[in-house]
Amino acid sequence: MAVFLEVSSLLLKGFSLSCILFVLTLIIAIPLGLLISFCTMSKFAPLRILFQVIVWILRGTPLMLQLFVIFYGPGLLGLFKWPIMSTGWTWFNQTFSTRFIAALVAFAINYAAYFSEIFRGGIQSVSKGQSEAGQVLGMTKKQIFFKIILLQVVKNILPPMSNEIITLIKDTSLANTIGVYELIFQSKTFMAEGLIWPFFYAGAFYLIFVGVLTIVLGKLEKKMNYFRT
Amino acid sequence: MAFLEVKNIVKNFGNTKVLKGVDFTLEQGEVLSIIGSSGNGKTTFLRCLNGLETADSGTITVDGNIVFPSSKSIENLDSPLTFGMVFQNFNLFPQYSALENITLAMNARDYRILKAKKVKFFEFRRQYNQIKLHNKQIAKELLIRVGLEDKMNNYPCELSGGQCQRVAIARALALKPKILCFDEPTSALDPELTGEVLKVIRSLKDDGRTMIIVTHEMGFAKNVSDRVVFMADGVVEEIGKPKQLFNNPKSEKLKAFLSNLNEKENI
Repeated sequence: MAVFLEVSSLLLKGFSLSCILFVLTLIIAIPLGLLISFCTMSKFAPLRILFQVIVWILRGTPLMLQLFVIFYGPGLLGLFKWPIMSTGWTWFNQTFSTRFIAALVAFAINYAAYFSEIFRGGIQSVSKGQSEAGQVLGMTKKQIFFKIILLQVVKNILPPMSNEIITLIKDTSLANTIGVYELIFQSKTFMAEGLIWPFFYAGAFYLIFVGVLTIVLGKLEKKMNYFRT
Repeated sequence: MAFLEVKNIVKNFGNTKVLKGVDFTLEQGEVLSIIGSSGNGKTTFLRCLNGLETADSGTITVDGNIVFPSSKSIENLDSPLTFGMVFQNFNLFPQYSALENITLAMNARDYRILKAKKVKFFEFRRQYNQIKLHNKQIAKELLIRVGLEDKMNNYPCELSGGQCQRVAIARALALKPKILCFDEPTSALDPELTGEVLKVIRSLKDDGRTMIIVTHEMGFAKNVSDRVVFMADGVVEEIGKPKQLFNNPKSEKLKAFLSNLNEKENI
């Protein structure tokens, strides 16, 4: 029983860090992805091509590789070393290592690239007549985007976004490879004691989290069913 | 000087010459129908009027003001729109109710006007809420006008095509355009639904509204218009009173167009 409680408390601690990484990645990647999608749809060819190449690289290479490049790259290039810097930030007795920041940067950039492609598809799927209708009614470009286009885009992209969001919570486990004390990292520490079940326990955390996400996102999708685009 | 003067409008899409110099004038309160077979530039012309397409050359003058080539500095926030537009496919905003479809652009306009006055936040909110209530009232009256008072809170997906088009007409009217344009307003409708839309357009004529209607409904064009324009090959081939145009066509192209229509009716 004592062992179970000890495992539980450590896994919970790891899981909370996974969740924080998950939430922060979303908060950064969604607006960043929107910005990138505007760039890849730009009429200015150099900008468009530059960002198309960036998206291609980010989607075309493994996230693990990007994580390593961002974490080890600066040190190997002689710029700076992530691990010796301390952020000094704490949250529920967790200290955020700079490793965590490196992981956050890698995840945010990678997911922004994926999101940008989803956003691009969503924006382009809204009929041109919608913005034309706004235009002939004298609305400004900004008003047309925020008042007319955006909600239709949100409705269109909700299913593929749900997919990516569910993938993200599982991808946070990659951060253990650079020493972020997230859920998988914590469950690995019990291997030394010959325990296998903490891994299954960790799996249960992901399962429950994804279950809750599925229900919440499904409800959101249902809420948007009052109109058809 | 005529209310609307269109001079030598030219528009090319790449190497395709769509409009090869469109000229005509329109008086205030006049209803003009534009007929002609598909692909002869009727819709493109209407889109040039509205600014959805930019013509390559020519001028458009409304009420003495040059609206094309546009001189943006003259644009006044408070002034009513020059052109209103009713689309073939309605283009209603699906996420808004019939009422909200109408108030949206009015509120957006008034928001800009209020912003330009630079009033303080709470005062801004108070005034803006008042304006929104006022706009809602206008929208309600417009919906009653087009016979949809019982559909105010319905979403476009819950309305029939004819009802959607009537909401779209009310939406265009809300901005008080000087000239209301219709781009084949009944072409996307089932035949039994065209009547309700045409009836609304007819009632607008009785109000003395200036309108330009691109249409394939020859009977309607004959009855409702003061003058009819026959467009062929990117130019105004013939223009005149409906009786004269339909009964005594002068140009060969119009004769061919009309006899083609008659043949179809006899099949």
